[in-house]
This record gives sequence, C-alpha cells and structure tokens, in this order.
Amino acid sequence: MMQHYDPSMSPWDARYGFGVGNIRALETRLIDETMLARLLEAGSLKDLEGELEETEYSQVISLSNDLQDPEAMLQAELKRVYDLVHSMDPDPALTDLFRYRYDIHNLKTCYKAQLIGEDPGPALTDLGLYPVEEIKRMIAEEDMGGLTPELSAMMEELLPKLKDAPDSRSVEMLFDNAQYSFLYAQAQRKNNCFLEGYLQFQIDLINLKTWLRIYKMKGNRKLLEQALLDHGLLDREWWLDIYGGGIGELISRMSYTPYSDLADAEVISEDGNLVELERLTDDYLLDYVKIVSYVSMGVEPLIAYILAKENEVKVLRILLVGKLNHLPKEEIRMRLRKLYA
Amino acid sequence: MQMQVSATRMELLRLKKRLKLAQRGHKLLKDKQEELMRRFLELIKDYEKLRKRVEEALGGALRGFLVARAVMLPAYVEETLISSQSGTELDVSTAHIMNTAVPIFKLEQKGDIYSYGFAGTSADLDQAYEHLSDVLSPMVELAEKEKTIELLADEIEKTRRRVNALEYVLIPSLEEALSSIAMRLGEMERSNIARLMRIKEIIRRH
Repeated sequence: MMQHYDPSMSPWDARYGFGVGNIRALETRLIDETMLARLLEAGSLKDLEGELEETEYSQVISLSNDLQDPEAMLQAELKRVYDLVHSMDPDPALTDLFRYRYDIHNLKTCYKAQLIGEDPGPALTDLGLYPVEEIKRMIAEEDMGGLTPELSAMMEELLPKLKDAPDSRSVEMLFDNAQYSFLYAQAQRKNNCFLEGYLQFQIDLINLKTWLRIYKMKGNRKLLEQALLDHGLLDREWWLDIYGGGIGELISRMSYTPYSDLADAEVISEDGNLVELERLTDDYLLDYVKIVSYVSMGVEPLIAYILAKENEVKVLRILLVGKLNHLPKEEIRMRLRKLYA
Repeated sequence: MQMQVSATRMELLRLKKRLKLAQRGHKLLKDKQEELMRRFLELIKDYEKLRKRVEEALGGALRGFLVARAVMLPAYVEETLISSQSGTELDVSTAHIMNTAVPIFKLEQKGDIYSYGFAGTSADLDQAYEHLSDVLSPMVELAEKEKTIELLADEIEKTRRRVNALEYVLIPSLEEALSSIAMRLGEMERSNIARLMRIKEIIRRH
C-alpha cells in the first residue's frame, strides 16, 4: 500500500493553530457514510432537500432552485470552502493552488475557443482566483502580466509550445502537463512533502487511467507519450515500456509499485470497468489524505479539508445528478466514492 | 361522367384505341402500385427495427454524457465540446424505385472522435463519445429511410389516384361512349336499311 509521507515528520508550524482547530471542528460536519446512505435512500427531491438541510449545505441550498439545479449549490459550497480556508491560512500559497487549477482550466478553454473563434461560454468556471473576463483579456492580448509570477512563467513557457500544437487535443494535453508540473513545482518550492506525495500519487493514477483509456481506444504510443504527465513516482518511460506488452504486462509490473492493491482489484483487465477503476483511484487518494489526521499543526489539515470537501462535492454531484435523472440506485452507488468523515 | 362524342365510325375507332390504352395504363399502374406497396412495407419493417436501434443507442450516449457530467465539473464537460478533431462528409446521391427518385446518403467519418485530453476527463466521457460516434451512421441511414418512405408514400398516393381515375372514371366513360356510338351507328344502319327498302318498294310500284 502507500507510504511516502510520514505525518510525524511534518514541521510544527504554530501559525496554523487557529486554522487547524477550526478545521478539526469543521471536519465533524462533513457528510459521513450514514448521511450518504440516507441521501441515497431519499424517495423524493423534497426528502433529499430535507436531509441536506441538516448539513453544511443548508447555507447554500437555496441557490439550487429546490435541487433542480444542484450545480449552483455545489459550486457555491466549493467557493465558500476555498474562501474559508484561504481566510484561515496565514500563508495561502499552497491552499490557493487548488483554485489555480480552475484558472488554468479557464486559460486553456479561452485559448482553445480563441483558436476556433468560438465563445467559451459555459465551459468557463468562476471557481478560480482570477475573474473570467480578466482571463479572456489575457489570452486575447497574450499578456500574462496579471498572473502570479509562477503562473505567468508557466504560461510564458507554454505559449510557444501551444503555437506548434497540431490540434485541440494536443493543446489540452500540453496544458494538463503544464498544470501538474506547476502544482508539483509549487509543492516542492514550499517543501511540502504531503502535497508533493499527493500530487505524485495523483499523477501516477491519472497516468494509469490514461494508459488504459488509450489502450482501449487502440491509440498509438505517440499519443500515450503526449498524454502522460510528468512528476509521478513512475516516470513516463515506465509507462511507455510496458505499452507494447498489454494489460498482462501492466498488471505484473504494477505488483512492484505502491499500486499493487489496484492491480489485484481485478478492474484492470481487457474488459475491465474503467468507471470502477476511477472510483478506486479516488478512494486510494482519499486514504492517503486521511493520514493527515495525525498532523496537529501545519498546512496539511487545511489541504486535506479542501480535498475532503472536493471529494464530498463530487459524491453529492453523482448522487444528485443521478437522482434528478432517475438513474437506477445501483448505477449511482457504483460511482460513489469513499468519504473522508 | 358522360363524354360528348360524335357518333361516327372514325370516333368509334379512336375511342376504341383510347380504351385499349387506358386499360393497358391501368394494368401497368396497378402493377406499379403493388410493387410500390411491397417495397414500402419492406422499408417500414426495416425502418422500425433501425429506429429502435438508434433510439436505444442515442439513449445510451446521452446517458453516458449524463454520467460524465455527474463525475466531472460541468465546465470541464463543456470544454471538451468546444472543438472537435473529427469531421464527417455526407455524400448525397439518388436512386430510383419504380421511377421515384429517392436519396442515398453515404457518411464518412474522419479523424479522432476523442478531441480532449485525459487528465481532467473521465472514462465515462470516452464511452459517451464512442456511443455517439457509433450512432451517427445509423442515424443518417434512418434519415435516408425516413425520406424514402415519405417519397414512396407520396408516389403510392399519386398512383392510387391515377389507378382509381382510370378504373372508375375514364375506362367506364369510354366504354359508355363506345357503346352509345355503337348503338347510334346501329340505329343509323337500321334506319338506312328501312329507308332503302321503302325506296325499293316505291320504285317497284311504279
């Protein structure tokens, strides 16, 4: 199973006393398995609304128009959590990274839309730190001066590569790689082993899913090479080497990695279910995040709380979208992730 | 409907020719109608099967998008839809069924249907795109069949009207006209004979 990060080695940072205290209280209000089972069993939207009124979502539930538009509620909750953690963090450089992901998404979307002369419209999100209009202006004028120096440097490095990208998928893959390199570099710069470890696991698991998706699409090695992300525990050569050997080779080689449990889970096979694998990889990452419960003073509990909330919002989105569209309970259940609480 | 005709031998011959032509046309149109109906019913059967298949496949594809929207941030799903690397070419030609021009659609899909990256997207989205791509060709085939059915139905209706017009209007009125001319000519013949006999009688007395 996983290790890599040892919570006892986390530096004691007294500035986080207030923040961690708050987070420990907030963690008790996270949705737990019992509440999730109640939500799943709720017979109508009215019942579901009633159950959610007992949770932290009661503050934002009015935005959902009687749960007809759950996304407005979920995004408002995420925004509330990001703002709350930001206000508690004496040095928000790391916790803000989670919002930079949305800024990078907006930069990517605006860039792609500009290439084909379309309006990015609903493909933009306001969860980032920069206003959407400002991002549009930056891309239109190729002026990244308004971004943080690190983000600006990432974009300055990326823009010439984007100009040579032959198609929109290449653009997207270049952005994805730049995003994870940026996040990893920031975690390293701040010397945060927990986030570094999290990102390495996340990158490996994304690479695993990418490997399998391209394999199932019968994609070639060049596509895989473009799609793989850097900075995982397993480098890109590791993934490329086994591509010719097929799934059998992947499973046998994975047994010697921290992901041996996933290799044994029988979801990685020629006709394996990638949806199930996605659930298992999310659970794997959440198990890693849970180690942080032993950290009493530091930024880690704040990061863990953001990740726990993001996971909770994802679970709620699956549940609410599934219920609203009358998906069978079993189909909803098979996609539900573990919860932090 | 009574035809206004002059009771002459020439007219009789002309009308006989017309009747023969109308009867031949009626037979041909009747055959055409039967063949059109046969093809129409065959097409309807195929269409029903195909429609069911397309509806199921479309349902699967939309369900896939729905599930992808549940596991991904909606903005991320929208972003994958901004641009596409795949293109489609539709070649339209015509074929003839019993002299009715019907369309033939030929769809060619080019390029990769997966025009998005992998890091921020879910495998559910791959399935949705795959289903949607698979259903495109049957959808075009369905459109072709639907249009063909529509055109054949129009043609059947037109042919039915023509057959009915021949069968219930033109042929009976020609037959009626022919019989009335024949009767009139017969009468004229008889009156001519009577007149000749009378003249012959008068000549014999003198």
